[in-house]
Amino acid sequence: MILDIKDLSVFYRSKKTYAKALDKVSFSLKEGEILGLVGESGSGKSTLSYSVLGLLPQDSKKEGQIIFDKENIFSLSPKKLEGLRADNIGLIFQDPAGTFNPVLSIGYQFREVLESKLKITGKDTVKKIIADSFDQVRLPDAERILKSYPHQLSGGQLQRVAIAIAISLKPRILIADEPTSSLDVTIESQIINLFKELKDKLNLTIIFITHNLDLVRALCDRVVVLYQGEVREINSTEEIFKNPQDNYTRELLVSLQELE
Amino acid sequence: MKEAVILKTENLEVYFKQKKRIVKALDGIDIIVREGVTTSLAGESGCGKTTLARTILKFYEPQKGKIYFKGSDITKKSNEELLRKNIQIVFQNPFLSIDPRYTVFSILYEALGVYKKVNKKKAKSIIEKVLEDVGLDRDIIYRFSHQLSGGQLQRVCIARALINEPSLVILDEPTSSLDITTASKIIKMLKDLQVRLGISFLFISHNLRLLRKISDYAYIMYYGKIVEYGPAQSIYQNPKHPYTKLLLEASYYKLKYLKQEEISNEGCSFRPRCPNKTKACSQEVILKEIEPGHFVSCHLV
Repeated sequence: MILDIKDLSVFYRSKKTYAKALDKVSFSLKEGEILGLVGESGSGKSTLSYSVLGLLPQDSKKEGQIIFDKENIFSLSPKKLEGLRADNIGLIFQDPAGTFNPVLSIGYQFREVLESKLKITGKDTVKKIIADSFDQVRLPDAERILKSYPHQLSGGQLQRVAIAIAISLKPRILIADEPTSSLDVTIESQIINLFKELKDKLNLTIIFITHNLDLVRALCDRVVVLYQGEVREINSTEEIFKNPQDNYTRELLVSLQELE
Repeated sequence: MKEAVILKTENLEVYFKQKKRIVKALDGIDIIVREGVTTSLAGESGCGKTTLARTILKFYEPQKGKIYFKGSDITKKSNEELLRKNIQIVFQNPFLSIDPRYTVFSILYEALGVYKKVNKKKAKSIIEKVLEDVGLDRDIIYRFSHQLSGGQLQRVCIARALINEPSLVILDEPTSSLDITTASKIIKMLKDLQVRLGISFLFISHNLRLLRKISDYAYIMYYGKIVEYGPAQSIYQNPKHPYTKLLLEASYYKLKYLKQEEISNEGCSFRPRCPNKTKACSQEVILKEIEPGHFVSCHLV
């Protein structure tokens, strides 16, 4: 058990009242598994990932516990939280173009991450780490890419760089928040297979957030179905598809059949 | 039985000038859209799908070629009204295609007012009717776009496209920014509308599994050229072009690794990415009929 979420509720401040974003969410994450977090927009998928990273807004209200390494994330000091984000939990966002600063070169941004998070500055070490992680994500032509600016790369290349940066920190958990929904089909398929490869090679634990059940079937070991902030169903991918228990899960499966 | 042809393009070419080079966005496109059914257009981003849609609507002026709508050439200025009245489009992102300062009523009233002079009272009943067609409640008529969900807003866009009773609607990835449950409802609604009103659709998407489900005829596009087309069943069950196969493989997440893509200017444009290329592939390639109505442009077929 690498991550254990117990009765997590999150409320966002809205003018005078609080809006409930998550409602008593509980599940746990096993080491080396890919867990799919499925739900439509507004179901609380992203809120959940921000909670795990301790990135919720200051004025939000939180209840329950998120236990990582026997410690509750909510009671960590800001400094420890920073450390947690540095090399324990990594995050990959949906829009790769929005992840990077458009006026800095890819190389600069990669080095900046290594310097600030891992305090690594030695030129050769940095070079080696970068080369290794580009290798892992199968990005050829590293020299050129490092000199490029974000707009000079395609969406698929940028997403690979984002993944390379995330895994260079050797995180124990990688949270991927809809990492392929802004990409083309052919690129999407390659990125999905890259995640599978990374899981096998590096024994990465991945939380894969998506609204695409189809992707879940192709990639995940277990699935958590979220609806309006509540967990509706947790089961192995096989069981969810073969034998859905919840009405909402069934509705999702019917929609999927409509579309393919 | 073959449906009547509603739209036809002939050797359509559109070039864009970049600093030093010329990009052939459309390189001799011939397509046929048939009446009352769905014709699909698939390909990766950058292959020219959207350019083709925009050229049909004359947002871009083609350098070469003709577009015929029911036999009349709509590239001619004199046929502009025929084009605008009969062909409508629905875009991918409903939030970007609706003015945030307009209510649903004013959006639809504006569209209606282009061809019909109607007073507001009459307009309201027409608008309520079209909202009902797209499955929206009449309560939302005075709401603004930010008060609607993505799915509702996409329905408003569809209502706007339908309000002047066009015979052809171009759907440019209408569901790819929507949730799966919403997307499936919209697709269902579009199919119902087609049966009821007999509208023809040109459906553009890169999601082959979706296209497979809904289309009657299919075109596969690669770098400004049609590489395979024919009856949808024949294309999706029996794909012949390596690019079509690759797209299908990708849509089932089976595609693992692909070489950095390059474009070949001579011969078959798919050559650099093709797994089974031969010497013959550097020769110019043309579309050949391999089954009745099923055309492929590949040397190896």
